[in-house]
Amino acid sequence: MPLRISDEILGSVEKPSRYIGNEWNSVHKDPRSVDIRFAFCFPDVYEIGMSHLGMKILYHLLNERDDTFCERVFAPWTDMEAKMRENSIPLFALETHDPVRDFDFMGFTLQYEMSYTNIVNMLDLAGVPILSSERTGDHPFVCAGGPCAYNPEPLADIMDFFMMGEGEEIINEVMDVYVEWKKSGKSRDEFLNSIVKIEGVYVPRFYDVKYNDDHTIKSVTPISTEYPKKIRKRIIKDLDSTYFPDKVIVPFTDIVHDRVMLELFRGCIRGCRFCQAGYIYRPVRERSVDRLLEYARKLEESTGYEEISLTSLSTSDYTGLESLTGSLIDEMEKKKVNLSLPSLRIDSFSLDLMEKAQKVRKSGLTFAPEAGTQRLRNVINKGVTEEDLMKSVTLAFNGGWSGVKLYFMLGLPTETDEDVAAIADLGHKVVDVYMSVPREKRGKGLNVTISTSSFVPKPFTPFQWEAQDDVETLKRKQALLKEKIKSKYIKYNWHDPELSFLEAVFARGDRRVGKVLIKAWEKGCKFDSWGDHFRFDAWMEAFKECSVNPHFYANRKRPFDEVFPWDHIDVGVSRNFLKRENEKAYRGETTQNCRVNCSGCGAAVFGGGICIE
Amino acid sequence: MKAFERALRRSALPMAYSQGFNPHPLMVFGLPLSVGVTSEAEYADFELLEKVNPREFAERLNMQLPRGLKVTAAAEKLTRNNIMATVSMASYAVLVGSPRDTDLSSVRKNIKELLAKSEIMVQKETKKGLKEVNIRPMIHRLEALEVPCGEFKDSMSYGKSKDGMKDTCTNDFIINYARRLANESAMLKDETAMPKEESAIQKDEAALPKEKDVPDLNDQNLFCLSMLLDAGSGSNLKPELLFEALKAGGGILTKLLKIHRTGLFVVHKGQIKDPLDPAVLKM
Repeated sequence: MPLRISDEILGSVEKPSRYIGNEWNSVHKDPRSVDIRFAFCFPDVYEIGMSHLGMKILYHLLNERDDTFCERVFAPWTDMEAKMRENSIPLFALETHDPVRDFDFMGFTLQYEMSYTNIVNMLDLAGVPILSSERTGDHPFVCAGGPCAYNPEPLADIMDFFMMGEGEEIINEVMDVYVEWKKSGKSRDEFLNSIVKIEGVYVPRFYDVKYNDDHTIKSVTPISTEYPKKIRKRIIKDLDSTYFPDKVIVPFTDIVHDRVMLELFRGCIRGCRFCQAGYIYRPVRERSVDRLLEYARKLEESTGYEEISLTSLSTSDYTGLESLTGSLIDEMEKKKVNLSLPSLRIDSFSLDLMEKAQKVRKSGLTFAPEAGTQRLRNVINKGVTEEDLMKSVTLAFNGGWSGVKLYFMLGLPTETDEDVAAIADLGHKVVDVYMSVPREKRGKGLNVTISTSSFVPKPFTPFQWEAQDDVETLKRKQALLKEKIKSKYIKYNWHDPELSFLEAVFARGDRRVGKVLIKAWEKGCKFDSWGDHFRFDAWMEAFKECSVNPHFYANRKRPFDEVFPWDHIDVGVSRNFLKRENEKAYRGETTQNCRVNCSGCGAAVFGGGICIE
Repeated sequence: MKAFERALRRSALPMAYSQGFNPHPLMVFGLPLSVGVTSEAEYADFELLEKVNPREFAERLNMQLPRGLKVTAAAEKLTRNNIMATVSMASYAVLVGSPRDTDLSSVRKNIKELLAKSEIMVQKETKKGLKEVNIRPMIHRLEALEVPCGEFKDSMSYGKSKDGMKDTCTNDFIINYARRLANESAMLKDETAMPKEESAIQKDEAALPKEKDVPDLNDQNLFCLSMLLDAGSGSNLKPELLFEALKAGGGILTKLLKIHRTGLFVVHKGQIKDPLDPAVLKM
């Protein structure tokens, strides 16, 4: 039965193109001809979700299956949600506009902690019980994957199961089991019992959490010996031979990242100690230049996009960068297609690459020193020197660029006011470099942007034991930095520390914060990362009413022997390695990257990628 | 626009691109549509680097256009006068609603009275703010027709009226649209009889008055207004504005349901012509 998303409703909301579907390369199947209807749910609006590479891959991968029809679902914006509730229109999928509650699966991707209220809201809008324990045979299975799934506990009461790691293989394995289960007519629990045998599947209800008197965790144990003590993530060993779509959906409307994305490699060799992605995606596995050129051509032909972006955690570290960009730039120039190279690392930034990238349109340049002093950069293992930065901006300004963005974090472990003030110094030095470049060479109108976010300690990093600076301290540091910046050419942006505080609670949260999440949603919290919708007061009320102390999670330094809510998840990198790295951090010692020297992080257990090279 | 840009790239047609750092394909669309307005007659100029047979152009582009967009005709243009500058009129089929008992002759009377005036003053939004404008000279044709929507209107009588005008709307889009609306209204009628499901509606939303955003046709009659109006950069009259004037006049028509553009025209030597007319292509 088609839903009544009438033209009147569409005409009365912002950006109606968010809700119409039918984009080029979107998939349309007859729902009656498939066994599985999968709703891929991105817990944010269309423009954000459509920029997510993971969904592009899994959407097309699932649709390759004859027995499955995968459709997309995004969080309706607040104006559309109001219309939906008034007109009793439940959450619908974009391709067919069918109600999601009639599907077999609702699969959420967990990209950032502050999207969790949207998940709760979407379940409610769909008419699906929020708690896993309340779902019956009439409801879809609700599952999740993605980077935040590595600490699944805050969502343990909501999700039926999680899929850890890279989804390309595990999702097909789960679907295969589902098809058999559906035919058998067995109970929901029996389905969960069958998939728990698949490596990477975590079913929270099969695990019991016990707490100590001081509120720390005593243990997380399976309720039966047939369930694994630890769940190991899945990785794709050979990226060249795994599925990669040769066509992706081309949206009608502007989205955040509106271009072809070429994923160069997964993982990162650098081991910056604050960065969760660098650890959870290990070991490093590259795609070959030939394969990437092949994808670039196919995707360009099937989409007609005007820009290609090279995506990875650290593009400068891609071993085939020179030959890849050489060929790409030549080929794409003829088709009037731009090349985008986001976040290049400073120390490998070469004149060569910059010159080549200059042939097509110049985008602004971004550098991420993260810390103001060498001392602090060594603590966080960001192996970049001031000399590197100055050399790079000199080259940039000589090449005609005049826009530079510098990213930093406030609240890193061992940070002092001197470190904060040094950020301003770096900014001033960059301005000085610009001024010293001859007028004819440099671009007109210098603008330097210093942007600081607040450090959030994350699981599976050497800093997972650290305390986050409290909100007052972060605000004081922001004010200090602002005062130290004297140049009119420098603009200073900072992130809301209250939002970062909540992020820190959920990043290292356990099942108890899950109750706070639901309470906060009941109070109207959603779209928390959208400034004007963020309601810190409602969140704090929710914590109080649930008798949960957020500072326990965010601002407390953990002893090395504390049991973490995520200890039963195995990402390869070992806890011992992370502890050694934490101790090195406090001694101000750096660790070399994987290519120079193997530090025995534990990712070698997967037997793939850079570890075996 | 972007949909066309990307479709063109996919088609590998020899498009000309602009110079500079952000090259885009050289194409101009005649008169953009407002959000929610549909059309079966849109025109655009495309500049190519080499000659391409117009039929081939249409075919290759159609293979790459998403659902809902289709090239129906193409011709080679021999002048540089772009479409945006030369379009001066547009025709529309507008679906409107009125109370149940309204008949076609009352609607026609409403229109006749309006057109009899030499001046119809309305508040028009311009860049400099609201302005009083006489829209009468911008109206070249305005007619009313009945809209058949299947079983829903089984008590209507079709056929020619005394003065020989065709009484029934023949525009397929409008007819299908009206039918869809009628079906949805019928479903709505059934649903209001069924008990509603409980859901944990957040407190703010539940407090809002329940306003129906799905047009309820259970108490309405439908008509189609066929109109030819000034359009373009010189003088432009939007159908919504004309509808407001009509509504203010007689109070017979109450709801604007759908605006559908049916044609764009160029005035050439005093005659109203299709932009693909050979005389216009040489203009």
